[in-house]
Amino acid sequence: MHLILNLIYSPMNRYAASVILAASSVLAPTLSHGAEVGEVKSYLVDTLVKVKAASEEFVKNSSEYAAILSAAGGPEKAWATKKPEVAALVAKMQENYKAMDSFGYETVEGIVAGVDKFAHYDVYLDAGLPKDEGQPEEISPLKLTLSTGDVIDREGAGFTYIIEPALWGGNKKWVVAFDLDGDGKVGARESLPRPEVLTTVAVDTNAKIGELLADARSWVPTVEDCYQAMVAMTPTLSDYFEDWKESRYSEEASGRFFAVSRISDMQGIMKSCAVMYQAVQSGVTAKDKALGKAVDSGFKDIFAFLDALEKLEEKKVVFKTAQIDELAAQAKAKTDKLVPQIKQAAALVGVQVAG
Amino acid sequence: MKYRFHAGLMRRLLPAMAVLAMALLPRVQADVLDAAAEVQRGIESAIVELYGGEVTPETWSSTRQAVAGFTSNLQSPSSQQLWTEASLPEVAPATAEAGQLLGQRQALLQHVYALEMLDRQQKEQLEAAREWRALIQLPKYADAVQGVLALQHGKGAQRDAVSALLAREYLVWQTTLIREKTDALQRLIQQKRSTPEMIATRTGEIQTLAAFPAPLLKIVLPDTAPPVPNMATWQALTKADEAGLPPAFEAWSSQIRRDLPNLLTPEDVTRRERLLIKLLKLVPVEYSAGVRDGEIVIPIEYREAETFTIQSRQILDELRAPWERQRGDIFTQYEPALRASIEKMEAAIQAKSDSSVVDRESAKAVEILADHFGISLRRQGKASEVIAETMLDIRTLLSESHAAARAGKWSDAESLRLEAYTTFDLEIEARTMPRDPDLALRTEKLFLDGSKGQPGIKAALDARASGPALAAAYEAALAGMNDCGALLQMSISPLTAIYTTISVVTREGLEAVVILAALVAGLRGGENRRIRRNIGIGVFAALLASVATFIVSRMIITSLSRYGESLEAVVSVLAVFVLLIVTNWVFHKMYWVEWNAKLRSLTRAVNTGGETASANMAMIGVGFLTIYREGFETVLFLQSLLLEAGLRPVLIGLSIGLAIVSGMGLGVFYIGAKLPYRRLLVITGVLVITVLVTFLGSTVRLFQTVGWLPIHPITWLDIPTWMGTWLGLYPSLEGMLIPPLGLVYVGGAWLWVKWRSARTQAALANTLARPATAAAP
Repeated sequence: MHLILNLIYSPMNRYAASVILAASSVLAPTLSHGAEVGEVKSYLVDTLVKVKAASEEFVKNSSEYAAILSAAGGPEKAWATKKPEVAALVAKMQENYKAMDSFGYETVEGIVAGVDKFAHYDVYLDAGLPKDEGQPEEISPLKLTLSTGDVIDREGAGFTYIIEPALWGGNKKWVVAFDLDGDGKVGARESLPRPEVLTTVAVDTNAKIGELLADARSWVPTVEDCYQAMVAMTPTLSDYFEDWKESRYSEEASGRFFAVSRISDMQGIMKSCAVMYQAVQSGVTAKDKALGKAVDSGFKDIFAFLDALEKLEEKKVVFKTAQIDELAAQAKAKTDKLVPQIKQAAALVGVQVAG
Repeated sequence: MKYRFHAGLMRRLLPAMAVLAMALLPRVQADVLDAAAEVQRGIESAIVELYGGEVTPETWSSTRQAVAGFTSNLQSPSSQQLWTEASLPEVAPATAEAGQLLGQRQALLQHVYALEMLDRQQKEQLEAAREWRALIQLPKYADAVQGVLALQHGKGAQRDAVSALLAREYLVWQTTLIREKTDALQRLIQQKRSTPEMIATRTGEIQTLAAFPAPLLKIVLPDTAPPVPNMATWQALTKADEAGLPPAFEAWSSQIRRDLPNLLTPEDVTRRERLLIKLLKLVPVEYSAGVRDGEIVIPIEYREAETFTIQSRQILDELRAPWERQRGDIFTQYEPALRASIEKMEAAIQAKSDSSVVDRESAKAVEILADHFGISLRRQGKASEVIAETMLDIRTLLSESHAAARAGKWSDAESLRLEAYTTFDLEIEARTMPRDPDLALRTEKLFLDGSKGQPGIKAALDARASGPALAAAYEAALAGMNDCGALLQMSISPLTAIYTTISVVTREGLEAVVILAALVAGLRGGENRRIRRNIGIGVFAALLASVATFIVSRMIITSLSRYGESLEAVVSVLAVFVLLIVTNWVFHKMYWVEWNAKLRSLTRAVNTGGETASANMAMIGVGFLTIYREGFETVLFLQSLLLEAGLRPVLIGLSIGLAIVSGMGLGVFYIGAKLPYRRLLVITGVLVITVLVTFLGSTVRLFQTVGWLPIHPITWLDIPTWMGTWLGLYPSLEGMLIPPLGLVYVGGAWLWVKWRSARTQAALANTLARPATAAAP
């Protein structure tokens, strides 16, 4: 409710209206005061259980998809003879992916990537780059041997570089491209995923999520973990806004992210950070009520901002270039301010954080 | 692009929202944070609308009300006065002017927050002071921890000190933001993305932000008058057309940057200077990794290159004020070129130009900083101390990194490893390279990926290694560094230093003995006692003068010890000159003969002139010159050896050399022994030639260490380390080719003398033969 009040008090204009309309339903239930660090673990485990369930579904559906294509004698024949079943399975797998990553893993990524103990899972599953694109520590070690004998050797993290491009036709290596709609030509993303790629990556990802879940269950979170993760992850938000700005200038620049908007990823990271902040907020407020509230308001402000942008994007609002720059600059100012404020909070409660 | 407003939706929602807002007003205004947020959001929304075309009357009106209402929160007279300037006109003015007003209010808000914070803190209302402080906009990497801790105890005796800290903190944040905002606007102008409304809004904000309230400035810089804003450049900018925009912006932003207060301590300046040169060196590395053939291949590397360049320019801006004060002439002469190089780098990065452009501009900028501003990443002081201190630092960093890795704090472990590696790279590897490139490169790899048999620390951290595998990576790097350290501890081996000292002292002493012996040979008997005594006085005075010269030159060199290896390199060149002169005498006996003849003729003249004061002085002078010439050369040479090898081996060599010379002197002058002078001169001459070769080698190494000579390692050549410490040979092209040039020189000189002598003899023979020939027919 507090968030809504804040937003309603904002000036009565079009921009504010979108903010109000977008007042997050995502955040409201999770931002209750007095939460402890144990709740961060609960949040992480609960989310990962859902991710695991979606991943199990994905394994099942990819296996079924492979079986149909195999029985029909390949993707094109399957499309010709069992189009409804194949299309339904692809749609199901896309939903599985959204549940696994976009609305699942992404909402705990701030914790997984920010807590040292888990950080390697993030590189493996979501953030790791292909072997030619980054420093060794940034490269996902994912290596898959397909049923055909082909090997996918460090081509990037499973979610971002394999599953999503396979399901949305973003990378020709993982799909069989042909004329799905029968209009005589093969469109840019007109394709079916290669079944051997999907089944192998599904099994591997499911196993890795299982490992992550087991580690999360055995994790004993500390206040230090929360601060360290917030200090590590909050500064990345400015870069996300930069990405968003660039993607607004050019649709092509939005690149790999087909499943959901970049804003959804930002919301996910923010949500993780906000959950962690909630867990430590009472300690900050006890020392400095104003700072405690300022950080809390900072998170809410950014959520509202993101939600407003999301709504505007959903309505296909096209911004003027200067507006894009201004919105990105305002967002950057808000996130930039949070970083040193979190460091101050850490110092007040006697937690030393690197970075 | 066009902005499609959802006017219908808005029309339906607006009345409901307005009613709710009015109902909530008192409650919200009870909290400063919320009241400030309301003003802030109003301004932000109005700006977005303005950029879309125009500010709606509703937005303008509500923002105006919020601005007016905010006054009730203010208690400080300074902020109240400042905020009176913030009131907005009833109707939104023409678009650009509206932007200016909105931007100015954004900045005024920040100043008001700061003034209120200080006011409350002075009144010891710390909770309220904290509230106001929490409102201030912060740059991303602001250091705000000190202030938040200080505000826990900002009362009583600490009150004024805390005020000063908070005010300084505020000025630092805002000057950083001013630079960031100015740079951001400059990029938009360069990319042709700016609009007149945007220029008006953002420059309005920056201009007002840079006009720090006098009460704030007074706390931090009591002796600095607040700068008078230059309205002319600002007005010129807001009126500039598209073509005139870049120069107008440059003129305005230069003025803004120049007027920013200097808040840097000398330590801050040094730290920023080092950071600047480090960033400039890193930019081409990141860029070449991130961009290939005009395409971004690794976005993060590209972004790092971009960020580092922007940071470089920001640091340059920060250093402007202290540099103008401390290095006025150098600043005026070289800062424009430095800035131009950084700007060219920035433009090349934006255009994704060939990496050679970035390389070239980076090298230019680094060269200006190193050559004209005297900034180096290398530590200053005696090489041995720098090495010892650096090795201790690296050990500590690696130990902390290992501990962090064991605790599963991988990112901490990696950042500590990186710091250890860059420290090693700058101080240890640079010195090891000229001596043993293979060891230097092998050890460097141990900090990075390592080899097949032994993974390096980075590889171990990347692989999340643990237990013995992790420990082995750290131990291997430490062992490699210790090998480098052991090599660097000895510039030349102590035995080489002793041998060199004995050779040079014996040689120079022998020359003195031979000349003296020749002089006194004709001065035997009681009638020449006076002359012999006067020559003796001269000899004694020369010995004292040599000792004095040694002490003075030592003092001079010690006072210059902060120049470390650069000083060693210069002194080493002097020593090589001394050796060249000495070796020239070995075969080119004319110098020696002429000098000897000159002294003897002087002695004869005095001898025939009777006992006058001037004659006595002349004889003392003869003795003095004979010895001091050799003493001076020896002293000069020993300075270099002292810098290279330290006191102990030089003293041992000196004692042995002096004992040999004394023995020869006693034998010649008191016992009347006939020494094989010529043979002795040749033997000592050959010894000095070996010293010359070793010294040329170590001079080359020193030149390479300080970067005055390039290093071309010969990777396939595996020569033992002792060849470096004994013979001055090191496995690089320069280290292998230059020292033997000493032999070439001496051999050439010898051949030249022989050839000349043969020609003279042939000419003499011809002359002698000619009359006989003429008489023959």
